[in-house]
Amino acid sequence: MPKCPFCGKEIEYLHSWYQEVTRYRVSLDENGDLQWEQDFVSDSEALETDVCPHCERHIPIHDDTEEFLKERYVVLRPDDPEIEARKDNFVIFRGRVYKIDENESSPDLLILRLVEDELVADIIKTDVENSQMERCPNVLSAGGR
Amino acid sequence: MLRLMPSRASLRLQASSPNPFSFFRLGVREVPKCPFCGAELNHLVVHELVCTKHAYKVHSNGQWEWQYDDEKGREYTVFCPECYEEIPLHNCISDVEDFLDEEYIILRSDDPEIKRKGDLALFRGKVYKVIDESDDGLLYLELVEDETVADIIGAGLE
Repeated sequence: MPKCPFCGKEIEYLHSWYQEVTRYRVSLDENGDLQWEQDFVSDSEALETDVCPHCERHIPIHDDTEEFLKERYVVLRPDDPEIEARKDNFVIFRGRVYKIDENESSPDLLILRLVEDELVADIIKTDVENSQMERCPNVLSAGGR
Repeated sequence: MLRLMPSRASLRLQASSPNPFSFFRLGVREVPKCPFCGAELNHLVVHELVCTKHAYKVHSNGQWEWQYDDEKGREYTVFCPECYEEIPLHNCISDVEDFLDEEYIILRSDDPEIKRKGDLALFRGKVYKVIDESDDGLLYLELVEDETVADIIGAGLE
């Protein structure tokens, strides 16, 4: 299940806000009673989409929302404790290999796309883990793997 | 931050077709006037803005769905059907009936039909109490219902 990059809570679904305008002509009838006649209903207009249901903050999802909910597209803080390893443009998060989208990432948020090809992912994962081992031999064993 | 109200410009929808209630003008009922364009109004246009929250869910089998989740308030805005200026009623919904009934009216302070003395005003033969006066020159007037009092005040204003 994906997590919110702001509050860190697991997200099962995302909220979106819509607004709709209904127009009425309001008059008094011959008895002096108020009459409401609906004469126009606008289309729903999105006010804000991709909102965390826990902290109500907008999550900057530049891709398909479905991809985010399936964790193929991840938005994280760079210091997220679940980032197991990082090398160059690649990150291991929850055991899966992601590529950092540098065009969409910012200093505060990493935008990650899942490396779908399993063979490529395994090679990158091994490479990332090896370089992590070389730099800090205790990191992986401390992570319980 | 949610923007709950669209801009007024976006709400300027096209004025509706000719008014089917125009028989009220045949002297049966007096109608209020728009403080901006001066048009006689036998109806008002009210926009109701509803904000709704929807949840986008993806199930483990890959299927997705939108679910209506919540409604967060309704906002009403009243417009003149002729010039489409917003009529700034204090309490939008409850004041609509009083406005159409000319029990609560909003006029420019320089309206030629007003005779004013202090907090009281005579408008179309009826006596009103000035309950508010805005910086932009609008008078908010409430009808003095007591006929005897109105007659006494009205005589002084004539």
